[in-house]
Amino acid sequence: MQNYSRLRSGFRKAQQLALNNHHFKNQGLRALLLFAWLALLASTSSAALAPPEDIKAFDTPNDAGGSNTITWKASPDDSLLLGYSVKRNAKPEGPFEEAGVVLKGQEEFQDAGLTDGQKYYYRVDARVLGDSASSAVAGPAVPSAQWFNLGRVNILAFIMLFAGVVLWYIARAKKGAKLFIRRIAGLDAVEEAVGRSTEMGRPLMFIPGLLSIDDVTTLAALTILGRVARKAAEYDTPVLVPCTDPLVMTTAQEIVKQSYSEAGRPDAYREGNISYLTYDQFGYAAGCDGMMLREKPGAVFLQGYFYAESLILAETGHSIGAIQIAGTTAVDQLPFFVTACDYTLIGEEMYAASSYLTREPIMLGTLKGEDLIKLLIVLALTVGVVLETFGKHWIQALFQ
Amino acid sequence: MSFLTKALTLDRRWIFLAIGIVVILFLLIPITLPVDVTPESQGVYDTIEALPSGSPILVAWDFDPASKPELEPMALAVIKHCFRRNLKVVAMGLWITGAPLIEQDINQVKANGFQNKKYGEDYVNLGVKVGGYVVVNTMAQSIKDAFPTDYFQTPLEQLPMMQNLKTLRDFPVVISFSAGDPGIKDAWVPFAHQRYHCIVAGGCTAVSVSEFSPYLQTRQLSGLLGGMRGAAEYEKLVDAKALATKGMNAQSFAHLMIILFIVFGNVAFFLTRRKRVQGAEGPRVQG
Amino acid sequence: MNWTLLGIWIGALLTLCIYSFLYKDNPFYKFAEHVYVGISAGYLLAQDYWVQLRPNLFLPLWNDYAQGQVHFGFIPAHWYLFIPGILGLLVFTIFIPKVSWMFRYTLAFTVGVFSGLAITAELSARVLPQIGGTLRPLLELQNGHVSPWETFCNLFLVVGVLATLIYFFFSKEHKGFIGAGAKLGVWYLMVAFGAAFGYTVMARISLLIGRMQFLLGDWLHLMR
Repeated sequence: MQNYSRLRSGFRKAQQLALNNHHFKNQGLRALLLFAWLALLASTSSAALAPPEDIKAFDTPNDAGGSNTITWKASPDDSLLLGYSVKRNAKPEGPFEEAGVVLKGQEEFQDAGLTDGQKYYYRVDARVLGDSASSAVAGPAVPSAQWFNLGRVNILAFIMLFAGVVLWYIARAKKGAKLFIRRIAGLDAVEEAVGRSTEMGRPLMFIPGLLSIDDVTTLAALTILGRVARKAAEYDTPVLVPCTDPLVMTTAQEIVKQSYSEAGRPDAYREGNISYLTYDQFGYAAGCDGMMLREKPGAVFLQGYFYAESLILAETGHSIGAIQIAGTTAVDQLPFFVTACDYTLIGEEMYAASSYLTREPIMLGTLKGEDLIKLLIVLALTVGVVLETFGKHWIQALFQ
Repeated sequence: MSFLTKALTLDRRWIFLAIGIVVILFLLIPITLPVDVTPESQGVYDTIEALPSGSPILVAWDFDPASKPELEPMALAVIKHCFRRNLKVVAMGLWITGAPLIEQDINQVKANGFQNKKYGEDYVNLGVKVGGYVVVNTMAQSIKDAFPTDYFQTPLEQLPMMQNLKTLRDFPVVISFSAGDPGIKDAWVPFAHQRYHCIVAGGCTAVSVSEFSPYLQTRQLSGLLGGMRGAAEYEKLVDAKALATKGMNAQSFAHLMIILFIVFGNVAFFLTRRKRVQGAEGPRVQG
Repeated sequence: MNWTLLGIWIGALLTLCIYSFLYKDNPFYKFAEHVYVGISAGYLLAQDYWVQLRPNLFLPLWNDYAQGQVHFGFIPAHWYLFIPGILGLLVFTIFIPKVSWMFRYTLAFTVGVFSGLAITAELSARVLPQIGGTLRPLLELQNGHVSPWETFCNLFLVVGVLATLIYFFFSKEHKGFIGAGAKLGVWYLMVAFGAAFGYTVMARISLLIGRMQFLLGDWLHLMR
């Protein structure tokens, strides 16, 4: 009993012979030769397709129910197949209906949309054009829901470790423990920027990014706004804050108003300086650019989360000669700020800056907690890399 | 003022003009530079090519008209590839201002050799739903919950193609053309791939390529088309040279010009800095 | 009236008005800027109703799509949608100082739901796989021999990740070993920023090319 492999091998030989044979320049003669060879092979061999083997059917682990998983060993004729057809029925004797189709080379299928608690039997057919070979029947597989996804234990462990460390540091900060944070270079520039604007008789401009009040980067930006506004109030320098989100605008108004009050200059506060432009990304950029060109601020603060409009804003600020201090966690926008701005708070430095300025226990504790986690990751990487060199994947397995 | 100092204080508008002239010139001159296909673009092609005829595929237009020059050419090429492979295309989007682009692009592909494709049988446009990864998560439970009707307000039960497509898990492959958030980074890879085990591939603006490259390395993305270059590569793969291929001529020469400016500017900067250190009057870079 | 042609002309003229900014600020740019800001605000407001509020809140309240019928009863078909509807309305209380505290409920709900969905997703997609992907052997073997290039790439990657993590360590001053590591981290960051910047230059030129293709092709019909 010969299988499809021999037939295909013979066909290839026929094809090679006909197409490379220079005596048969005529395409028609070539086709005739191919057909003759194929017919000869077909008449002298009988082919039987080999079915897939070792079929197993079981409830899909770590799911919400309604799903069975079927696995098998690929057919020895896998390379010749179109694919596999997975068939199911409630009884082992059939008739079987198609549950799904997978490509050749695959050895697993997940059958979803089933009823929990019901028995299902499965068969896997290896398919070629006009023919198939069925495996033995496997089952019963009974779908059910699991309460816990064991595949995500590592995520749970990571979250608990992270949360535990952060909460511990927050508790320490609330008790008054002295938690050290190194000074961030960009913060020194804040006073310089405010002073420069005052000397030039120009306002400050603070652009709080594109996201709304529920984003932590915006909250960090507004913390820095409070500090900037307080300095500006002391020097009697107006602060312009164009916003793209009405919630951010309202919050910014409150923060600036409070800063002016703390500086003893509540009369100098102008609500109209903190305005809403538009929600549209490039409409906002166009509006900010226009404002920069008309008002000509002495310093521009670009703090928050930005997208493609970042370079437009930074370039315009640079073109008017303003001192620019940027800070964002948007990794793909940092290059433009680094290039076009005088000082840039890179990523987490924004959070460090706001923690450093306010010394607020929750922010301080969170930052220290993150530092400890970073240290643990550095240790895990160092140990893990050494282990990987010796072929041990223990640390690698923790992160799968 | 020396030549180098003048060069460093050159009005930026001359640079704008030079770039503009180069781009216009090489859009009008009918030369064709060769385009080599990168493994990342080949990955997208192979992902679609591996699907059997008749398989469903989810294609997400996660961009708006601002990113059209980079992402629309790749969307057109990919849809052409899907139609050629007789795949059942379910189109949707996560960006509110990108809604009209979906139907416009599909109709454009249909008009060029695929007039036989029938709505509801060969492709469906679900329209746009705002919500980012919440939409993807909802689709994983039930597509009808996320999209009760299609773009034309037809209930999904009335569309023959959607009879067997109930959840996100019914799609082996998801292709996303992503201009930012929401898109590949925060919706499709973390949810469609990591949680619901769909194969995710797609395209992004050139800005995001370096950000998405780690996903290629860890095989969370099976392929990535990067910007107009990626679009040109895909046009070559599907043998449908269009706007992206034409645009790459101008792109290449504009890049060459920018490289020359950068090299010249740096040379001038370091030479004049040496003079300033030696006490000569240095330049003031024009703001 | 050929509306498509009119649209092309308006688009072309507005494009030129915006590009006039490259020379200097002028009334044409200001006009285009204000038109864009105004239209975008109005367009998004209309889209917010038609794409967000109407299909997600107003229609499902009274429509039962599963049955394909409209249900105008005393009790709406999906009455529970009143809860997110009220939470959405509470957002407007931020403009009324006396009751602005109510907005915090909406904010808490939004932040809670999004954090709950996003935290596990971010960890499973961006943190853990990337840490796992960084765990490379210090000596990479190919066909039983040490591959110099792959070994160098692995070392480069691992050292870069460690140095960058050290740079973002805020609990110690950047002095001594940590200072050296942080300096190396800065070099890695700058190289990465340079690569990202190069890609962005490519993206911006692509956008310019797209606009030029519109002006030269769709408007002036100069392109083949």
